[in-house]
Amino acid sequence: MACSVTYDELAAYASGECEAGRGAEIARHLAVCEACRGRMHAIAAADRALAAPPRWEPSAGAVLAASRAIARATAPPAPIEPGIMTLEEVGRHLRLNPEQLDEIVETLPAFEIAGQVRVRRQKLYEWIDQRERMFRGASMGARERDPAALDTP
Amino acid sequence: MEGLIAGSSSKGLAVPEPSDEALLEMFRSGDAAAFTVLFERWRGSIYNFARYMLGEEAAAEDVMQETFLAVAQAAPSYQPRGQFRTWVLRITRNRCLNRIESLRVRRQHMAAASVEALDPPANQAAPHDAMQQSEEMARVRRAIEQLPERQREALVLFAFESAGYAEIAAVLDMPVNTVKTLIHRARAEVARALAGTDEPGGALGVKG
Ligand SMILES: [Zn+2]
Repeated sequence: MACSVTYDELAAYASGECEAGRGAEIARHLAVCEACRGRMHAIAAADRALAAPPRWEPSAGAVLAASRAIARATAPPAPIEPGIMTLEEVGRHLRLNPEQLDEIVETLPAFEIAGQVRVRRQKLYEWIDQRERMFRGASMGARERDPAALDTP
Repeated sequence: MEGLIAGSSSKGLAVPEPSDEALLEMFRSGDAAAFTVLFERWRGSIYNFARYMLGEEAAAEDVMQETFLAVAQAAPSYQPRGQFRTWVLRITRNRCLNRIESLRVRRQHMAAASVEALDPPANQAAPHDAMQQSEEMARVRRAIEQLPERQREALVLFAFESAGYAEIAAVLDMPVNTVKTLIHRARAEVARALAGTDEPGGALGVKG
């Protein structure tokens, strides 16, 4: 028997999306066509299955790899450090309060410009390297004299 | 901008989750953690969509990662015109189509050079991605996987994302009426496959 209704039309009819006139024709056809009634049952079963469809889930490894890539890509950029520092910035950088900074300010590799004192970051690090060497030398000497010297505050 | 917070606002006891659009705004103003929430929220949908489009685990994993990286990169200059979901699904879909196209081109070249086809070896390692595999679920999955590409992508958005025709049309760059036709056809195809007949419009073995 040749049906005047296609399977696609039945799917549209099942979800109430036929134009009114066509819907009435399909309803009349369904009353006399057992095959199309069977198709309507099949469509209803498919719609039920598709209401809770089988979902693919990514593996834990793939999620972790993607998370890491995203974390790298979205990390905030490192702040740009100015090459020239004010005394206040030097103090903060060295974690010294203003009084402590005053004690060492004369030894800093500073320069004066327009009445202001500035320090080149590069020079500051060289100065720190130098002090590290001095500290190591002093503590080595201290240890030779008295192994407990470093432990006493 | 209103409606930044999704969900019930008046008397719900639960603290409302920020909407996708609000999270994107937070990310745009420097909150990297907001992007992690978006990833957690959408990775499953993106992976599932790519997995059904590409039919392969490794490629779907790549697309999931690429899609979120692309979103993160485009976020600063993104002009919100609709839902976040529509945007991210469009990116996913375009990445999938690019892969399908480049695979097709490679296959042609390989065929021209009469080298072995690129199909994965039959005896593959078991996939790592999980799916509830009852017999019924497996049949539904195969029915979806066997749909032609355009019906498949439309149906996946319809069934898994409960997307409306207009949103599906926006994701797929198609007229709404085309989407409707594709979905009706896809539902009919799935019905036919589950009913165990492949005779389009012919007599059916299905009885009520
Ligand atoms: Zn009929």
